[in-house]
Formats: sequence, structure tokens, C-alpha cells
Amino acid sequence: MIEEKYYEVLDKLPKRIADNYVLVRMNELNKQKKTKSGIYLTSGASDTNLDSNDIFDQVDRSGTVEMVSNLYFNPSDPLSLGNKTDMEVQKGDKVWALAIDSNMAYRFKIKGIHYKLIRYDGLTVAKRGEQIIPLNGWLLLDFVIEKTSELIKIPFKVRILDQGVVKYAGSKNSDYTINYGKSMSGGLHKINNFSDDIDVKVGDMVQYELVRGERVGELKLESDYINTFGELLKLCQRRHVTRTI
Amino acid sequence: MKIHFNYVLIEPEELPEVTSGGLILTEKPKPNKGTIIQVGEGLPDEPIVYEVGQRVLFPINAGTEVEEEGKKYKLMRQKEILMEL
Repeated sequence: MIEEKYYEVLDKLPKRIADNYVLVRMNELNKQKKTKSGIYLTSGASDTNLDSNDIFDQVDRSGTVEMVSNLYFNPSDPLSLGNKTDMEVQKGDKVWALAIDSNMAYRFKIKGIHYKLIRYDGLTVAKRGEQIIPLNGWLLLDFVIEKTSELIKIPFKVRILDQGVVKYAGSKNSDYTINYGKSMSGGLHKINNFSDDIDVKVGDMVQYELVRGERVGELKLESDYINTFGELLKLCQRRHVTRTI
Repeated sequence: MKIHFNYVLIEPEELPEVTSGGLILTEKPKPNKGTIIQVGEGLPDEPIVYEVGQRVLFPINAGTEVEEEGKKYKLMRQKEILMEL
């Protein structure tokens, strides 16, 4: 549930926003909503995804782009965008952000409308009209379902965790900033050296590396709270694909 | 004091130590808004985009606090500024 008190009140929209940020008018909060079965949700409950107890589903993370900025990439600068890409969103697009980026974003409201200043590399998907545009090297996958009913004679289905069928593929990131970690000898060593340079197209079945915080990579698009596509899709970074099946 | 390169000097706005509900805060709140009072020369590939007198918003922990003649200022890279108000 999003607490109103965390929103600062400003009197007008900013004249300019910083590089690497997108100003997003968030979906309306605290509006009474009704479930499919007709139950009215209270103001607090309407902000949460009732299908899940996961904390990452309980923050608002979609809205409409109000203002965009330039992107700045410089691998040696801590203020740089994490990946080199083009600005692919424009005013009026609907966008989804990673929960952690949405939660950490600077937030304010003007005349009761909620806004967030979200870093561009925290955005995963944009929707322009009927066009779905994965951003920042993300792929949107359909789940692969495996039937496992023969032993216990009860039909049930299991989603294969690390596989999916590419439903929407966006453009590749052309470069990444390099993170350094401490090695055992005390020096610094590269802890990643990512590349998006693989050919993945819509319809491919792919296997991917399960990474920390994998739950973050699910978009609960079927819920009322972010009901736009009417389907549940899996988010996967192109750099994490390990094989095409 | 003269500011160099891509840095800007901001005079932060003082925040009230009493909430709108009348509570007295034990710790002085950190400001996140201020007015630019000096800018650097810029860098060859990064000209200064802000001007003196503009009101801006920045993360509360951004930049360095500098003090001159008993007054506190914020010194930060222009890219740390979140928005011009």
C-alpha cells in the first residue's frame, strides 16, 4: 500500500528534469475498485495486488509518461545510466517500472495527482496505443507450462521457472557499466561483463539464468491493479538468456 | 568562493522544524530544494545547463555541504540535480 505521506506536494510540474529520468504520472491511487466477483475494495486494498504477498507487488509501478529527458551513459561515472540504450518512450506512453526503482523514486503530487521521477533504466515495458515496447534489453515471455499429473492422478500444471517463449522483444542494450567487486586478495575484479549481443526473436523458446530477486521479474499484468494486457508475463533480461531451445 | 567545472553551488531552503500538525521535530529536516547561486565553467563535453537564480530540487544526500561566513550551501555536480522547479 502506498502511503500518501511519502508524497511531497509541489505546486506545478517541473520545468526540466535530470538526465536519465522520466517523469511518470502514476495510476490513480486510493480509488474505490471492484473485483471481478463484485467485492468493493477499500482505498488501501485497491493499491495492492491481492494475488500475491510479495512486497514487490505492493508498490505502484505503472503510469503515463509526462516528461522525458536525455540519456547519459559513461561507464566510469556513477551517475551514468546502467546500460547504453536509446530513449524509447515519449509523452503519453504507458510505462511499467521495476518495483524497486518505482519504490525508490522521488515522488510528489500536484493537485492530488501523483507523480514519480523514475530512472529510465528502471523501466521495463512501454505501451503506445496497442504497441508493446520492452525497454532496456528486457524480453517479455510467455510461461512454459509442464503437466505433472501422472503419479497422483490429479491434473495440475507447473510453470517451468527458467524457460519461456518470447512474446515481445525490444531493442538490445549496446553497452553496460561494469561493476567491480572485491576479490579474495583484496583487489577489485569485474563482477559482470554483460552483453545483449544475441539473436532472440518473437516465438523463440529460451532458457535463462535465474538471478537474485527473480520474483521482481514477473509482471502481474492480470491483476486489477495493473490490468492492461490482461495476461501474466515473465520479464527476462536479454543478457540472462543462456540458450535458445 | 569560486565554483569550477560542472559543479553548482546551491543555497538550500530552510525547512520548518514544526510539522503542519504542530509537532516539533527533534532533528532538523534536511532540505531538498534550493536556489542556484553560482555555477562552474562547465566541461568540454558537458556545458552547464543551469543558470544562477533557478530553483531546483535535489536528493537530500546529494553533494557536499560547504560553509562560508556561517552560512551553509550545497555543492554538487549539475547532474545530481533532479529537477528545475
